[in-house]
Amino acid sequence: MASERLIKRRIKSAKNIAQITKAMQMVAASKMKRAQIQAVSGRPYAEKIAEMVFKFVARIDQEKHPLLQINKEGKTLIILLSTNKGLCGGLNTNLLRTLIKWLTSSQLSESVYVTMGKKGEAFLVRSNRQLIADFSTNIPFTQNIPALTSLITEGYLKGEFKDVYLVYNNFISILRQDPTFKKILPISEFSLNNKEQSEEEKKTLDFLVEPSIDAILDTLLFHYLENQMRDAVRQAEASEHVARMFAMKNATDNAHEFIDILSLEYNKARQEKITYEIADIITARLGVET
Amino acid sequence: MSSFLLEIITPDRIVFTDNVEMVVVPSSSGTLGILPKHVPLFALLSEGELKIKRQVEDFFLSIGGGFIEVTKNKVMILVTRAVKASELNEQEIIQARQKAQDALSQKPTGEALISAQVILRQSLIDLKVLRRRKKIITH
Repeated sequence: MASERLIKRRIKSAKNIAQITKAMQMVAASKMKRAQIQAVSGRPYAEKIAEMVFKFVARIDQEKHPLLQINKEGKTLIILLSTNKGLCGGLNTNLLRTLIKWLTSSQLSESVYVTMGKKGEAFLVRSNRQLIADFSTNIPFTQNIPALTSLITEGYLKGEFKDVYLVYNNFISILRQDPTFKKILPISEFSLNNKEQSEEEKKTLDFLVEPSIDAILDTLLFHYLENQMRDAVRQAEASEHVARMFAMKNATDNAHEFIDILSLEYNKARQEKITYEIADIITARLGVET
Repeated sequence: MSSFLLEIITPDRIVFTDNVEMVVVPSSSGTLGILPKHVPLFALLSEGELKIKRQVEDFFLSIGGGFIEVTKNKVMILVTRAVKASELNEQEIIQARQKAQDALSQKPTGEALISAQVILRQSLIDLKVLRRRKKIITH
């Protein structure tokens, strides 16, 4: 039976696949450990600096700094953090699907995009969206942050952008990564909401500032933007490695399952062949005897 | 003696959270000492040494630039880098300083220049912090 050889070949290729995916799983697992530590340990700082900025901005005059102004006109800038490589399960698909859903529901007037990650870039180009910059080739992505920060702030100060969003997969736990939309500019908008909640802090309006409000805002706001992006990049990276590890684990498991099924089939085919041969011999013998 | 809660956080980790009696920080316009019931304050910090005074012991940290926020019941310090004196290794710092000086002697430009300068400044502060700790121990 020809199928015997065929099945054997398929078993062999399934074994090869399992070997490769297993290796990729291991690589992703080791990268994941590092990325996860970074993502988790950076989180308190990112949260505190955001808190500090909101508290500080809520207490001072909004017109103090150009970055605090609100642009009425302009486009929405979306910074999309995806991955460069595939083989990470539904991570990118999920992110992009959520993005589309969000875009249709929020009815933005006009949006432009900056991407890190080839998958996101390819998607935006395919769907004819306005891509103004792509930082996918610079690895690790954290290298791009200074350039990206100046792109955002310059655009915002010129009034080209009305608001700026970060779109990425937030690393919540190993089993959960959620597509997240984080608004990083304008800053004043969320501090207004904060103001209502913190009546008590409003009373302590007199506080010392050193060296001056302007000097602090200059440093603090840039630092804040940079840190929020850095945090997002780290979260996205951790999510990527976790997703890849699980995707590869599933692939390995599937390949093993497939090998089991094929082996069973191979044995059946072999047994069938032997049975036929025995039947042949017996009939031949019976023919000779009579 | 009364105390207040101090938190020191860097992008990599939470370096310190505990009740302390006093903290001395290098602000951009000079050294600032903060005791309990300090007025609310928001200041820029520059690189330098930070001193923490606790009931049991005093200790020093070498910090990078950042911010300090003093509120009624808590002091929060966010800096790019903070290393306790006990975590510093003199040999490594001297090596780093040497490397930075070598790099600077070749007159680099742009990013290389900035990074070498940063490392040099950092190692000088680290050394200062380390020497101070030694002094305390030998006393």
